[in-house]
Amino acid sequence: MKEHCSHQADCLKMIQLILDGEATEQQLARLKVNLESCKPCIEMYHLEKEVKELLTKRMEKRCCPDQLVATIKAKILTFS
Amino acid sequence: MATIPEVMSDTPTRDDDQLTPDGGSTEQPSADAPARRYTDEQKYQVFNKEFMPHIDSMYNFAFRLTTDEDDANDLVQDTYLKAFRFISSFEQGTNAKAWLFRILKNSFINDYRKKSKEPAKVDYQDVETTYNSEDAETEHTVDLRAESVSDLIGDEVATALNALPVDFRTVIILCDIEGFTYEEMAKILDIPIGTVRSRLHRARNLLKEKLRDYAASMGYNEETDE
Repeated sequence: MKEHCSHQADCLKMIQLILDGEATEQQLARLKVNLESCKPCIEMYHLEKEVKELLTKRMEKRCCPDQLVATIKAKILTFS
Repeated sequence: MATIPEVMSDTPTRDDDQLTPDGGSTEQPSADAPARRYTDEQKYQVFNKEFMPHIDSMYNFAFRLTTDEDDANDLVQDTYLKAFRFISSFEQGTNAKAWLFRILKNSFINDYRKKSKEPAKVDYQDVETTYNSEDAETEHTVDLRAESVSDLIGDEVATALNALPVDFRTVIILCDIEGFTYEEMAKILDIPIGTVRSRLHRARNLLKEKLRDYAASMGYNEETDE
């Protein structure tokens, strides 16, 4: 297991592409190898995944107030 | 994406960076491509079927941008009225959500950003400069562990996110909260995909710094290997 990584910044960018679903097959394959052999990559992967999940799952989604929906619908009727 | 000249005309766009769906650069469709002629009835139909289903996402985006409920209300209303007025430049079956988000983002920049109630934050240019230097980009990783942030609650994450300059906040909202692809984000923001990627990267580094500071202030201990 590698304790230090000399291209950590590049690995971080690759990890973000993968978590965003924007990576190539090649990058995915490289990450798989790194996750078995490189400790800094494993830690970065967990952190990035955790931060992304904080944003997707923990933050409250604000819904549009019904009043606003009604106002918009009423206003466009006066257009045309 | 349909061309939306009038709505967007007050924001400079970078035509040379526009991408086709297959990712390659191409010539812009001619500016006088025939606008779709919808009857009034069709207009309401398109509006209700294609635009209204995105209103909760739009409101959430507006709220995360303005961090204020009243401003979010105004911004969403203005955006939907604009969308209706320029409905003839929307092509049915294309990406309505991205089209609407682009209008909202431009309205925010043009009408709300200046009078925004949020206190003056770090100037975006300063941050860009700091993070633009090649050294900062290649060396910069934030010393933070997944376990240190795993107990944070939504409000704490929101506070950290709100502390970011708005351009950085925007890419994180679009990507992580709304799930847009880089290509969609490039169109919404009128920037090249490469810029989306690097801005997102910097935004996440900034967010991790905020989260690290927050975790530290809450007394979650950072273990260090060194």
